[in-house]
Amino acid sequence: MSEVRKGAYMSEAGKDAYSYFPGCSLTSTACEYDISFRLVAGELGIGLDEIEDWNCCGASPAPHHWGGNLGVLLPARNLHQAAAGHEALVAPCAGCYNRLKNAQYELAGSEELREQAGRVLREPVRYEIEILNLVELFDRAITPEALAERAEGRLAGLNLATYYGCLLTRPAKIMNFDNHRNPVSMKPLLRATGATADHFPFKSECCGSYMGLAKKEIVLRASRRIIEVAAGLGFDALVTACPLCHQNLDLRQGQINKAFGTSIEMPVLYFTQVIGLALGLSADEMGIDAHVVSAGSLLSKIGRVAGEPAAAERRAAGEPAASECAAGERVANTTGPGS
Amino acid sequence: MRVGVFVCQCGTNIAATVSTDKVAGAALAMRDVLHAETIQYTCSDPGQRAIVDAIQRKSLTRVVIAACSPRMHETTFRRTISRAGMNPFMMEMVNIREHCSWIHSDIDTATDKAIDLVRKGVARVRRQTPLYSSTVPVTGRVLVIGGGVAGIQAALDIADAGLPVTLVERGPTIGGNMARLDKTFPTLDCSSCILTPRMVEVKQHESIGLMVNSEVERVRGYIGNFEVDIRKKATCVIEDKCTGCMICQDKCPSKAPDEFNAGVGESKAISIPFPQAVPLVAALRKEHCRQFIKGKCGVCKKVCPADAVDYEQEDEVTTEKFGAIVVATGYELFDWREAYPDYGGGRYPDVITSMQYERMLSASGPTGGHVRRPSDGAEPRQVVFVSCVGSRDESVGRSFCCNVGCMYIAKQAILTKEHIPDSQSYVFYMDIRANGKGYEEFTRRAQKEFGAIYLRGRVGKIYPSGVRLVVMGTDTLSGDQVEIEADLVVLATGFAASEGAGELARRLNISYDQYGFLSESHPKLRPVETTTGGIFLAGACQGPKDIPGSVAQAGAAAAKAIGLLLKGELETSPMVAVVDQTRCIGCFKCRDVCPYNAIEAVDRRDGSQVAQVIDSLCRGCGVCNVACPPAVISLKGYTDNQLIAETMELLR
Repeated sequence: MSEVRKGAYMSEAGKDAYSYFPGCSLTSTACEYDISFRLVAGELGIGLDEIEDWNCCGASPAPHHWGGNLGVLLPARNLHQAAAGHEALVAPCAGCYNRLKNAQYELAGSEELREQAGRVLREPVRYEIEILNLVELFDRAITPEALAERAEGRLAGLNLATYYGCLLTRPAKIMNFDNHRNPVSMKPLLRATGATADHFPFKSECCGSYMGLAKKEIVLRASRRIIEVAAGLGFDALVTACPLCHQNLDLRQGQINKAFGTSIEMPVLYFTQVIGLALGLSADEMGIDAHVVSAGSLLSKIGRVAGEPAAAERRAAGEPAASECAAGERVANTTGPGS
Repeated sequence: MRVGVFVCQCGTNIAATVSTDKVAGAALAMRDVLHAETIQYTCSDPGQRAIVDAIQRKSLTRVVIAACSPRMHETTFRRTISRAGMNPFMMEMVNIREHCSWIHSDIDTATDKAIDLVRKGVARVRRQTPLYSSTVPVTGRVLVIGGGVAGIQAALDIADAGLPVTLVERGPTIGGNMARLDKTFPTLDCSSCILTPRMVEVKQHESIGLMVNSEVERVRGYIGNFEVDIRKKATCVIEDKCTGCMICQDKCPSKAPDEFNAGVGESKAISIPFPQAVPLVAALRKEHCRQFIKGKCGVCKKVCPADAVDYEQEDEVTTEKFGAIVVATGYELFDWREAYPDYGGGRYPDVITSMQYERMLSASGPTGGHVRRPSDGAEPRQVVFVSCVGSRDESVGRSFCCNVGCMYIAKQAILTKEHIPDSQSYVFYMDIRANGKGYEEFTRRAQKEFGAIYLRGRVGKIYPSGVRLVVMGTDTLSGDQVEIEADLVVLATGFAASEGAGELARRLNISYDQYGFLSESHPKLRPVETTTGGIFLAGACQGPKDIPGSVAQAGAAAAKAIGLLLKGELETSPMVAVVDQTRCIGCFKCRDVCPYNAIEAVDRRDGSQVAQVIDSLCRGCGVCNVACPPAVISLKGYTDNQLIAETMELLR
């Protein structure tokens, strides 16, 4: 059973839970990221309170194109809302995580910005809240040993390529997370699932980012190399924690194949979905079937199929699931559109 | 008492910021000062003559010279007033350059400060008494630490001058990194062909005592008279008996890493690093030996025809006296693996260091001079060289240039073509630094005659693709992104100070920089001296150097050591501590704190004991002065009265 580590909050009536900032991607193009995240959080006993009336994190346009201080002020409002009742905030989207941390850094270093934010919010800005990405969050909620015990080697036989992209770790002095030249933080939990996670040399290479709208060729070229190298090195899937990376690598994989005459088929999974599979959740309930590149061969490699019933249904039908043993002791509080 | 004050203009160095005339004028009003003048360059011949003239004309008994740092010219001016018939210690230097004119911009402030400093100097010199040096004999032997090419050169030069030398080497053989090289740039001389005879010469020289597997453990004493503890580590082989037949190595069942071959190939727990090793004696490494790990084996002892193996052997510590020490501890390659995850961090067997490649090229190396990929033993067709790995790269905290990378890459590219005529070499470089004699021509040859393709830019990433490696980089001249499929990638890894260099420096009480390279006393004018008298530097321990540079510096260090020892005796500084024995209470706190063991107890007639300073050992550090409870120890030339008078002047 999972060991609850320091900093993890058992949720009781919404108190002591993590503040949750889904951001726009997780409510639209990457809704399966949101769904799988909430499901896994429930399995791990992580309580989540979605920020009330959250707004855009600023994404790429606010800091890089619009000028002024919008890139700080937009996330500042989210921080302000979250800090009202929570000590820690989780943002699964790497872009949101990056913006929130940048804003916090800027606010901490500038009284002028704090004053400006205060004028907008009509009260002194609250920004001193711990900001976590979901690798950090899961790392607190469960040890690799505890996960390994629950996963029972379900993902044995898979070789997963960890793909971090740029936003989780850069700029290093602000993000202060992992080694930006050689990030390794996903590895311990992925290995605990029974899978191997060999060194992936392109783990922090650029996927082309938001250039997909302005200059698609750049994305196709950049992302092609990532999936091609992963395929060449014999990986079964890429594992990412960024909706934009996912979009470039998964959604555009067909475009890549068409543009370059290749025929790569490289499934791209969210980190949450991999942990979920290891915990016995079904591929469909986590939205793996919503990806463009089919994960069928990957699933069959671990003796799983698309279309299997959700874990909760199987439990109700009396079918034992590894995740069941601790389920009764944890009550996950998931609010917001997913619940 | 008749004090003269001389204010130096040092051209404009001082005069641009300090009104020297005002300072001289103010000095004339100070107590006992009856002469003051400004001099354009005091240290010049006419400047010194002016001082001598003034002393003789006005019968001066004390002199204050307001000029540069005493570190620069104190000795100069002591000689000057000596020539005028004065005791050389009746002179005080006041630093109005480094401590005043160079660091201030406002003329009035700087002038006021200079006047204060001169007043302080006058107050001090008025309380000065004549001091007299004595002499100590010099031990006529030299210790050389490190047996690479620099240490070998220094030892031979000193021994050839007729002085006995002890050469201490940490490893089992002398030869250092040069012994591992195949050819040398820019002449393509065979490295071991030119080095091996020198190594043998060391062994055969009757004035050189060679101690391998040995380390300097403790150093006491001072210039002319060092006392050094040397630990000879147990190697389980009796050096005098071993004949170097290598039967033990052939029969030894325990594999061990091959340090001499930079990890290319494997060695045995008992081994001789290479066939030309000096001395040609086996050494056993206990941490890899079955006899010591499992408690039974004994193969080497059984097969040794000379009965030279002794498992019971223990470390031996000997203490020897030396007059001078030459430090030549060399360098090692920067460990690139942690710093460059983008190059695989050591994961890919076919990404190797330049030293590993050097061993592969060497005819006496583990591959017999055949270039082979470590992964599958295949002969590479495309070889990519990456320069500046761990050099000139602030992102890994190493901004200095390795000095030799550009040259040895050119050499290795040439040798690659010679070994494999249908191969193609690519060189990623930042700049081609080829500033030695014949160097520029050599790098051109690599490109023109041997067809190496040079690409100006850094390599961003290396990743495997099938059995090959893809090297991704930039060609900044064309602005293109470049990808090259390589069979073998050679990283031109930079220099690092050799392991434990900082630790040794602390034992020797010499300084070193942030990277562990040992510091010279002055970058221009004292390049082989350290800040500790009698200790000299040779070779790459001081900073990255090529072979000619190391040899030249070793010769210079040898000349310094010889010059020092030929004197026979050294004048000691008279600025030593003295105990007022009539008031000493015999607590010996002074003896406890003295770092030079320069205080002894002497008996008085009533049977009690008091402290006495041994002048020849005292270095005048002043620690006893402060520690003495009844304050009856004083330091000659730095008495409490003088220091208090100086302070009072400044506080006025």
